[in-house]
Amino acid sequence: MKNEFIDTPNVGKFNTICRELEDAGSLIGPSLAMVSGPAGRGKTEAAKHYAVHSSAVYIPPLNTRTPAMLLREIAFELGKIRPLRSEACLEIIGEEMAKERRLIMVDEADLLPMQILEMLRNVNERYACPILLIGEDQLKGRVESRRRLSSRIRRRMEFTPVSQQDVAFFFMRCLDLKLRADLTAEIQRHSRGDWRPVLTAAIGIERAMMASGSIECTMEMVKDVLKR
Amino acid sequence: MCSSAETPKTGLAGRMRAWMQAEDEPFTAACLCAGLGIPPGKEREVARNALGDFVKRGEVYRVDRDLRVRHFHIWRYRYCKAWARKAKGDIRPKILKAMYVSGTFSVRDLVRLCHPPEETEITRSWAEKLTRRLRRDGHLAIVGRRPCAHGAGAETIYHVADRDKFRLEVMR
Repeated sequence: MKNEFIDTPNVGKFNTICRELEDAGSLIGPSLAMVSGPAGRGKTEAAKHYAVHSSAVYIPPLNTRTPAMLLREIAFELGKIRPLRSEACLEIIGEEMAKERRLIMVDEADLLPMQILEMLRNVNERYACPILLIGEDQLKGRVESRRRLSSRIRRRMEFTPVSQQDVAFFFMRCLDLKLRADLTAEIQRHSRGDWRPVLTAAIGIERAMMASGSIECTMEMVKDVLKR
Repeated sequence: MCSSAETPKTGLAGRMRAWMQAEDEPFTAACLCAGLGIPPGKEREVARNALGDFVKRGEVYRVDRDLRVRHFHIWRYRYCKAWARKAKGDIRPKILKAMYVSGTFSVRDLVRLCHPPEETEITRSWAEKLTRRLRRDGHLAIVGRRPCAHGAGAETIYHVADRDKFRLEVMR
């Protein structure tokens, strides 16, 4: 099986939001955005993929962070120094943002304390620093609970469940296998919208096909793999 | 005027670079020629011109004038050890950033994150070379192995040993 990054409609929408935030046009109005969705939908993978192909900063999850720790982390990513004082961190963020506006993606933002979310809002306003919050469904509730924060969210996006087309496209790209519609529907139903069960099913189906020497995938084979 | 593709390669620049890198003290063009055993005449002119190219690239810089010779401007040079050729492609920085953002990864993960679909093999080869080199230098550590997705064999899982050091020394 080929290990490929699949460009799904979700990923396309995600990239559009990131590009919009990085664009100078986002200087007019707020440049905060929020991407939410249950685990396994590919939010983190999309964020990492975008970060690799652009100058965006990806802040990995760490739910024990304090506001000062997060500021230091951002300052280090932008300016390669980690000052002890928060004020110095803010200066670096301001200087670096004046040089080049870089998107900051904060993963698992739903686990961050409200104080940090409010601090990110201030940093966004003060230095025109585009920030993308990524998290599970709880993030929506947390953001909406504060009017000051929710009114400043420029774009909201929810990672929709894996569709039948996504499953078919995945099998085509990674296994060079054109699945019948009833098979993709079965796999999609089993996955409940997550990518991980689709990946596990693909591995199982490939192994079963190799073991039986078959070049076509049947419903029995799919059901047998999904049962395991 | 002939193009660079038509210019015969003599290896002079390589020999000059090796000599200058080994030289700790500032040197003049004459010292360089003497050190390389280039006889006076046209060949020394070629070496002097080549030294000018090194200066233009920033690989060699002028330190001061040689005060032993008062009637002429004779410069003393020093090789810039921090100089590095400008990277031509964009695969290497992408692979390094993929390592950095992933933290723990296999070569296949790197390929997935940074390759355009038509260049899988090139990216894989680059990623393998880079991980080997970084592991040898202590920037990456092997943390385990896991079975490959295709069912045959296992792949090595790497971990960025020190994230800050990696960012400062490897990614620059």
